[in-house]
Amino acid sequence: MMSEIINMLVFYIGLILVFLGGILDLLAAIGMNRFKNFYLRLHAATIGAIGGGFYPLIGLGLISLTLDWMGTNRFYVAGISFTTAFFLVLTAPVGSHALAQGTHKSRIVEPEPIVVDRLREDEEKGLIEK
Amino acid sequence: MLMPDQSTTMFLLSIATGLFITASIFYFIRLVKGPTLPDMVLAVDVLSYDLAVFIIIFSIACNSPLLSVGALPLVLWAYLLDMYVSKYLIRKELGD
Amino acid sequence: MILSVPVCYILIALFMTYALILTYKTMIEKDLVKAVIYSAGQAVAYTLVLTLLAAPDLVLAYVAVGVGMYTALFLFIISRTESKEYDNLKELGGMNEK
Repeated sequence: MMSEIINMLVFYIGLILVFLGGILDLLAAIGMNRFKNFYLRLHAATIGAIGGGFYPLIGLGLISLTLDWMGTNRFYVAGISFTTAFFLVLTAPVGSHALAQGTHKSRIVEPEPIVVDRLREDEEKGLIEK
Repeated sequence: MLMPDQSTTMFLLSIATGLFITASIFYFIRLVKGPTLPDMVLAVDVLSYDLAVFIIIFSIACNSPLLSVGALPLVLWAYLLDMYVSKYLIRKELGD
Repeated sequence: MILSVPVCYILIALFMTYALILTYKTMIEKDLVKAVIYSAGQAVAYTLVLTLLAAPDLVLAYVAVGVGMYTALFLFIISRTESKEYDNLKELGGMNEK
């Protein structure tokens, strides 16, 4: 009886995570089309990576752990899902930051709504190499 | 008791798949008409994270763990694509 | 399981269309770096198609070659030459004078 209740809780937590991830992914996709600038689209891409990739993968792993009709296959699917989620949350922010650094150094996009840009001032003064 | 059966579970996951399909259409629009290079790389990135979710859902629907092998290399190679492009943008050469 | 089969058909058709449009954009693009990124997007779209057609072994090779090796080699080659494609030789201008 106790294990059934835990199964049910884990299943519904996973389902909520999957649907939350879907809604966040849809919001990030709309934001990706409506923002004007690359540096603004980076915010939407962060939601798309963590909200649209990390949450649904954790949720699918939790769901597949509780499905009885999958037999022993559920442990393989859950393991792959958790591993993919771990590497995604490890590598997605690093990739976004590297892309932003490359864009800022090569100056192909101007950071439009900006107050002060210390990094570019330092580059023009020659304190750090271009 | 309160656990839904197989067809209901797959129905709920199909509805969730519809959300991700709609999101992937918008990402694809940004990929096609992206004005600069980093926009397109960002769109390819997030599209590949969506595809990992699709692959895991399909693997659950088919009850076969062999089909979900492609999710992890997809995420890791998308990260390496970021690194290549940012290194090309910084140095304009990709030698070392 | 009954409802999941049409979703698979929709996914195959949608991502085949993505791959077709991206291949066409790769052909007509003048900026070579953008063409390489379009080609990487085509490889990513083919990943899901090959998975839905139950060929996960092809996915491993296709992702490694299409997204990783192809992009790295072509960016390496482009960084040694020019990143622009010319229609005719007259646009090259001063290249012959060197």
